[in-house]
Amino acid sequence: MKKGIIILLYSIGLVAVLSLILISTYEPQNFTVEIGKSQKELVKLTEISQNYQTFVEDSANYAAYDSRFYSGNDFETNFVLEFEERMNEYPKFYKDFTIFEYSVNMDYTFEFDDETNLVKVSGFPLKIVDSKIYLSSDDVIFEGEEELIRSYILINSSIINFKFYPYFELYSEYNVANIEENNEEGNI
Amino acid sequence: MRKGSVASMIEIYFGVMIIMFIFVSSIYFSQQGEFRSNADVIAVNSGFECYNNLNNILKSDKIFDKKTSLHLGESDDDLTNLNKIDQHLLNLNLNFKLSISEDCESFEENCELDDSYTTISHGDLSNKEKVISCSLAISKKVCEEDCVKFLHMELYK
Repeated sequence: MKKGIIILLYSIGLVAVLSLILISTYEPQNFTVEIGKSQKELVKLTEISQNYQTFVEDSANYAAYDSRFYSGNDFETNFVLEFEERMNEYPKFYKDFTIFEYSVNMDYTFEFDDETNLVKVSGFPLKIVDSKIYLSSDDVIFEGEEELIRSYILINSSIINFKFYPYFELYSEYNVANIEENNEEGNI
Repeated sequence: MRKGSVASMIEIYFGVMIIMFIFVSSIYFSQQGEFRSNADVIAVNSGFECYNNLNNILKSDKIFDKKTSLHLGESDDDLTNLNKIDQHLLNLNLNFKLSISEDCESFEENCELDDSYTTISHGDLSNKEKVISCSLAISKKVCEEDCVKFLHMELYK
């Protein structure tokens, strides 16, 4: 076959292939774009953090109510154990969810009033500072570099890092059985 | 020059011309070319309305004699409680379903409930479709097995 014929056939083939490609890509591509997914996640986390706060307050109320027969250290121990047990039941609501016990360290304060038999209980996220101990070159031990461990619940979502600080403050009766016994004795 | 060689020269000449034409036109059209596509843009419902209504219900102390979340956590009479919430929201121009359940398969995704749970409907839901649903957790007073129950809302438009 002559060289001219080969080049001619080759070029015609090339034109045919190019035409096919052009025809096949002529129709526009269809696809769907969803907007607002990040906003949806943000709304959900914000609203659930409010629900978490409500859950904290209600759980604290129930724990205080169930501890009402105790006083002093027994009240405190019973309250903290029950409150944290209840909080650990809050369902998982984001990917890196950690149960309450490990997600936030809460500082509890109890102020007992023996006259009214009411106890003021409060719980706020506590900033734990961990001191690292170093040994210097002349063998003197000193503490340095304070490190924050946790004082908030941190949500590491794919779109945002979101922190919130649950807390509660309530008044509850304590030592209820003794009050009732005293009243009964008084009536007799 | 022989006859055959003249014909061959013409063939080569035309072939080269066609290839040149393809080469030049492909450069030209690649500059002029536009990618055509149709995009359907759908705005995702953020669910703000749904979550905000639920949070307002749970925080309100006007529906029952105490905060709604506390009352629902203490009471097992779910149907009466839902009806009372419904009565309180009588003037609200919204079409929704409210349910209370003891469990939720995935709170992270969204609790999907069937009709076997205690549910009330508010407004006219016929010929309307569900646009969003949301769920929030409630602490239960009596905490033997589970300490959590769930309040769900489905909005219809």
